[in-house]
Amino acid sequence: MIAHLFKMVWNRKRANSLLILEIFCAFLVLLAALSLGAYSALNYRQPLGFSIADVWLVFAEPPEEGAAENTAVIEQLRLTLKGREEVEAVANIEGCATPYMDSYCGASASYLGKSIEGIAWGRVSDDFREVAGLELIQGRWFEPADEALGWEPAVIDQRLSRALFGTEDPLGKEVGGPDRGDHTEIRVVGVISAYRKRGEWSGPEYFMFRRLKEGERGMFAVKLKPGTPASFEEPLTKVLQSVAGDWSIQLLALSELRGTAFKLRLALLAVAGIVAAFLMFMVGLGLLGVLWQNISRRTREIGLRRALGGTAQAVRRQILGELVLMTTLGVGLGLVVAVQVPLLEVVSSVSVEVYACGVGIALAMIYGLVLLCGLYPSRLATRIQPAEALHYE
Amino acid sequence: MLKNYLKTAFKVFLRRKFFTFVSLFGICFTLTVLMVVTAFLDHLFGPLPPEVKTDRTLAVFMLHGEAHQGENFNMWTGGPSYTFLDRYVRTLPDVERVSIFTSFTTSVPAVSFNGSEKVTSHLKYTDAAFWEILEFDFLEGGPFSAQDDRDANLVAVINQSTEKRFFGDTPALGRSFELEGRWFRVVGVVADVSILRLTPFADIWLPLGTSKSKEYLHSRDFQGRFQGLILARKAEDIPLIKEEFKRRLTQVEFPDPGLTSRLSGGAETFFELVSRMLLSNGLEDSHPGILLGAISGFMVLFMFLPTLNLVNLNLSRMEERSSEIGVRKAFGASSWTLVGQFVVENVLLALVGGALGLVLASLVLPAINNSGLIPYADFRLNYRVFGYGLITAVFFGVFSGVYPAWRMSRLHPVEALKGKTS
Repeated sequence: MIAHLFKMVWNRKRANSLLILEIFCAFLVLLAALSLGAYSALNYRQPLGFSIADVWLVFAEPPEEGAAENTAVIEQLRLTLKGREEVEAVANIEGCATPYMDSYCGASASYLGKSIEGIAWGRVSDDFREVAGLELIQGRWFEPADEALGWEPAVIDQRLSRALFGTEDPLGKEVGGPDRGDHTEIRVVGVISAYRKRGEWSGPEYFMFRRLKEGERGMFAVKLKPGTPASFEEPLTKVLQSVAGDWSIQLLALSELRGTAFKLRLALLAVAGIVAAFLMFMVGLGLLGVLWQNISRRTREIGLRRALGGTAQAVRRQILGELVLMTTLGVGLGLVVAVQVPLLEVVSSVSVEVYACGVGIALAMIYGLVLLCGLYPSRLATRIQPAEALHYE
Repeated sequence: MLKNYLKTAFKVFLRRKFFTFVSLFGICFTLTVLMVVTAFLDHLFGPLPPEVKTDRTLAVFMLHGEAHQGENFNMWTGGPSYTFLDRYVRTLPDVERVSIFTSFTTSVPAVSFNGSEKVTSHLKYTDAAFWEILEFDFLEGGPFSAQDDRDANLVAVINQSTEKRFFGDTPALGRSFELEGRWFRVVGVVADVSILRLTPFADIWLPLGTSKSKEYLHSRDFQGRFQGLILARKAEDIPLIKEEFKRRLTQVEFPDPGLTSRLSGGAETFFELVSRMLLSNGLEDSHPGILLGAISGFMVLFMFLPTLNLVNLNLSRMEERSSEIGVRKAFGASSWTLVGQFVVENVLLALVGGALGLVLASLVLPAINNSGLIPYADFRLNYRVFGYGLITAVFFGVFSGVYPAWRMSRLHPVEALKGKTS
């Protein structure tokens, strides 16, 4: 049966090879769109590790960096913020530690000869855990007493802890790596569940918190009491401005920082999805047209088969069988290409599981599409009357 | 002759409406996507106001610095500092104007309050030369002067949307608004500039002298938050200026060799910057040709599937036309004549599809503009985009028509008249 189908397909190899090429291309397009979709959906569902509800950023920029009185002004600003009744918690923070901000500090870390690349790190002060609602799963967070330590404390995320220390207890272990500042060594004091600084759409990443002394940076993360009305912003800006006269003071809701990038990413995904859907619709219509035309061209052949006793079911099976065979050839070619992606590690950020999931869905969709397009033409084929067909000659 | 071809084509299109619809749908959809992409690229890189003198402007957007000190290796990529631009760009010989202003990418929007309403604006601190290199469309008033910059006068140029946010529908000229605790007087109102045009974009433009932070004036660091813009006397000088800038980078005196002991970068156009960042991560020379090739290649690749679809459709329709081909061949038409006829038919179909695509694109583009995703985006179909669309449509028609036409024209007249197709 299959050998026979091969023969039927081979007989019209020129036209069929183009159809196979089309199915091949459609499969690759679908695979790319679905892998992107699966990758985004999986990332989106991972826990962020922090909450941005009611969190605002305050940027205070001095007229002169490094001036002697700056630390005092920053401390004044911090006390002012802390004293406001709508404020729940205030922490000093750096751009490299701020969620959704473009700033990035990267380093590698090593433990017992094992080195991990691409660790994002950033410095925050003691109250940041409360501001961002971080979930501590092991050890402790930074505390004022850390000031007196002879080494620098660090809090890492669970993923990094597993990658670096495996099943060992990470607490108290020294990590080599990022430039060490005043101290000679960095030791892990705590592990948090996650901290995906770049937000919902980013792939898995490692993060390491380092401790920032209060007043070292003129940037704050502020947690407001839930239900604070939007009208708090104007008076607060005015008060801060009056505390630090010639400084530049800016307030920004973290949700606003998230908003733009988040929306753009979503729009990009939507556009990719719409374009892929339209391409598939177009391929489907085209296939329907080609098959339809082919059936009317093969009237004589099918009629003859019916006259020699072939049942309508058998004819139908033959038409669909040929189609499935061609699809398999096209998809097979596509799979040969698709396998190269994980083999050659072209896209390293997409894991093999995600990719395999994309391949599976793409396969199902291509076969579904092709069979759907073949249904009507194959029904037409069964309706061909032997008499009418033979009368042609 | 052509008239007959067109007549036949029209009849063929009407005979099987389903097939005509499928072909048109494919062409129309493909061309819509391509035209939207083209409009986007044109909006990003094309010569649009206020950047109209693109043939003689160059910018210094990004520098890349490296330092080796014993085992330590330090590197950074970022905007140049004021000090660097002032020392090595402003002094470039034989240029008409040089402007130095804060770059957009590093600034956090400023918040002001107008009554109870919150106004968020992107600020740009510039010198006076900025207004001479770029040709802004002033709706009211004019730019601030070099005098304003020197004296740190609290004056501002604002865009149309900001005018509306602060002053409603009444003219803003001469009136004042509050920004970070200071009151600025409006001296000019300009039309909105898209956020994607990094060089000119801002909501509010202020004299550099009014910047609260004076850090930039004496920071010795070469990494900073500024951008330089160079206007050449004539377009032919551009390569010379690029050369000179590259030469200067090799002769820079480094204030802090531990931080930077080698600089790379370029005086370049925005397109060259993007290709440098994308292709070599900002480290090496820019290869705009490669990026252009990649974009065109991607567009052709995108057209491949729809074209294949159309080729398959056309091939399978040969049967319908076989008797026509037989008759024409029997009466002495050469294969080339037939190929010509079928290609003309396809190009006609592609042009109709292209026209529909143009209509669709002209509906999609305003929808993107109004979605608010990209502030002040103004994607538009202009004659350049239209031209590209036309070229793609013809290309599409020829590309998808040649192979089926060649197959059709090779039919033997006797066979064709009998109704055989292969």
